[in-house]
Amino acid sequence: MAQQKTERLLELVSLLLKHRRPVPKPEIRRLLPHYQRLSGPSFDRTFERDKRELRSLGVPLKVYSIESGEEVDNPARAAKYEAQELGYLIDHQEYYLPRLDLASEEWAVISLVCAGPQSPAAKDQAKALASLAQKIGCQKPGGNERRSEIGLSANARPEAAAEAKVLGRLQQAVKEGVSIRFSYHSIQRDAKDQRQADPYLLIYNAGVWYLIAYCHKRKEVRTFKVSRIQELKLLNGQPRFNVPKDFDKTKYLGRKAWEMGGGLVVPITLKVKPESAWLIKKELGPQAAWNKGTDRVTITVSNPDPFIRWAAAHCDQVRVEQPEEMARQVKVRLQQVLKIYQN
Amino acid sequence: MAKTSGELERLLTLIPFLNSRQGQPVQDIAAELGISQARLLKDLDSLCLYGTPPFGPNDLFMATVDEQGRLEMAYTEQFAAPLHLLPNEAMALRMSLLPLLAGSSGAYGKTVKGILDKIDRALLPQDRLAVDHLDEKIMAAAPGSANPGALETLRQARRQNVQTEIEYYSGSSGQSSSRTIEPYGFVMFNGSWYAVAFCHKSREQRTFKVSRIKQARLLKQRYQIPEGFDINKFAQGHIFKPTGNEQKVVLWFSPAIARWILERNAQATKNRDGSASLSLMAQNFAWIARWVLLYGPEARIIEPKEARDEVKKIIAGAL
Repeated sequence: MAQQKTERLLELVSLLLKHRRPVPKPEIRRLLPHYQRLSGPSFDRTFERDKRELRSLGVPLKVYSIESGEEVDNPARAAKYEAQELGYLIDHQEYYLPRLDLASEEWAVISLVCAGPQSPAAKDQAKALASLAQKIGCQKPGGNERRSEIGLSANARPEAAAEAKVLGRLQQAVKEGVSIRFSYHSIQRDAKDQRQADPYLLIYNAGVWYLIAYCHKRKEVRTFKVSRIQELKLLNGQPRFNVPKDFDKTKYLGRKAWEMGGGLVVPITLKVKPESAWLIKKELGPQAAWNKGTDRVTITVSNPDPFIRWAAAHCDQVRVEQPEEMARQVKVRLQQVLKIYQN
Repeated sequence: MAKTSGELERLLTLIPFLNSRQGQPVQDIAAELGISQARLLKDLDSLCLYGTPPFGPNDLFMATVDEQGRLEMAYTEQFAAPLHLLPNEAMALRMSLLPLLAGSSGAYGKTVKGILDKIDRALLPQDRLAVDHLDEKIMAAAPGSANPGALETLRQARRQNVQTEIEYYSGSSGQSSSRTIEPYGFVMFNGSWYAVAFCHKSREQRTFKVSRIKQARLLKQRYQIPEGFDINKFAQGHIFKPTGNEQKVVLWFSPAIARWILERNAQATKNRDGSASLSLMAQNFAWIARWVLLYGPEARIIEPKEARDEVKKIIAGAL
């Protein structure tokens, strides 16, 4: 059955692509052996189903009036015609993939990501990539390929598999503005709970995917780690949401952990070891204000804990000068650690 | 129904692909498709069962292999080009290109944006609308530690095959030192770029983290990449190849932070009391010491002594 249907549909596409004029329905029936074998009403039903299926695959199947040669693009109008007065045509312009004119470096990058390691959990994505690679591969110029200069490494983090399971549907929700429901593993509390949210933004940062979404439960915009999202459902039946105009995505891009808290904003002055200044400069990012000609820098911190952690780990490169309380906390932390290693 | 659609979709993509590979050895075509030669030959056989109505002598698809093992196709001209790209295909490409954008705005950013533009333009207008503004909804954040300038210089060196002098920050000494390298290729791993290069200082192939290169300068001397070197193959394995001088390092994490460690490290194991342990092989203990220090008293190095001493050294050097 399935084999017969594939054959019938492929032959129909082939026929309509070859004929550059609309082919009347009775002629289609006469030409395709599968249709010939069916009774009148049964043919009508099968033909309707086939048309739907082809269109769902993206085949631009168009209906024309044989007499006037005009397109009949709505079903109500089409119903007014007799079967023999309508013809079917596949629009060449829409059907065929246009030339992309990719440069050689663009080819190299595309073959890299298409052939690169795929997460076994992301089956749909891998399938779509393979299909894309074949389609655009038709346009690939022959000859020897230059040896590639880049390689992609398989992502070995356990998180990656969890991300792959939901990422495809999340991107769809973000794209179409569909609210979602999911269970979220809050690692802080080590507990799972149900959330409903409007997904605003997906961010890939240093190897990890994050979702920025309005959380219905907390009634505020929150950052979720994609790998901790499970049992994801798209609430397609609900009205689409709109991202509020005052939503500022730059707030979530490249921000340091100590800038993400909702606490009091405290300015902190650091003294940086000159040899390490270039490295620290990159780590602190563009928000840091450097005092010209000195090795002092001022940053703002709204979430002190991650800052204290960072400052302690870089204690041989930076020293907290102000405020004193912050300097003291870093010192206490270092003393605690030192004690462990002295015993 | 889904099954038939899948098979039809496959054929509508496969036939144009085969058309574009006429005259080429079937062996190569199978390799390109990532299938066995036997499977391809079976596909070719089944293609010959199809044709175009009214099925005259010039209407039956022909897909055969000549004596030299090359592909011959006939009567499939209507499938000279494939079906247009579908939104899910464009989306999958976009998602897999994004990691390359991260932290390489100067280097691969232009290439990736060029590809995405061309792909978007090739979509049907109604599909294009669907991906409009998408780059404002799904994006890569440039990590502060990225170093697009150095990556760009190294790429130039790789293209022109000229040696490069770099100033590289070493975690163990806390100092930058200069060395000459011959870049073989670049690997994106967990959101960071690494350069694989022959290092004149250590006289062996090394992997350098691009964000630790303070400066890179092209030299005049030329070099050759070894015949058998394949960056993609290299990337599939562990990107830091063991040198034989590694030592086993054992780390312990308290129950309070064990979950975070287990989430990020496949090799970490959970202990009965809720804490986590992690063993790894390392030659340079400085970065491990700094990493452990991030967790303060919640993490500690169990062994070796040299790695424990490294933590003490960092704290002793506190400004």
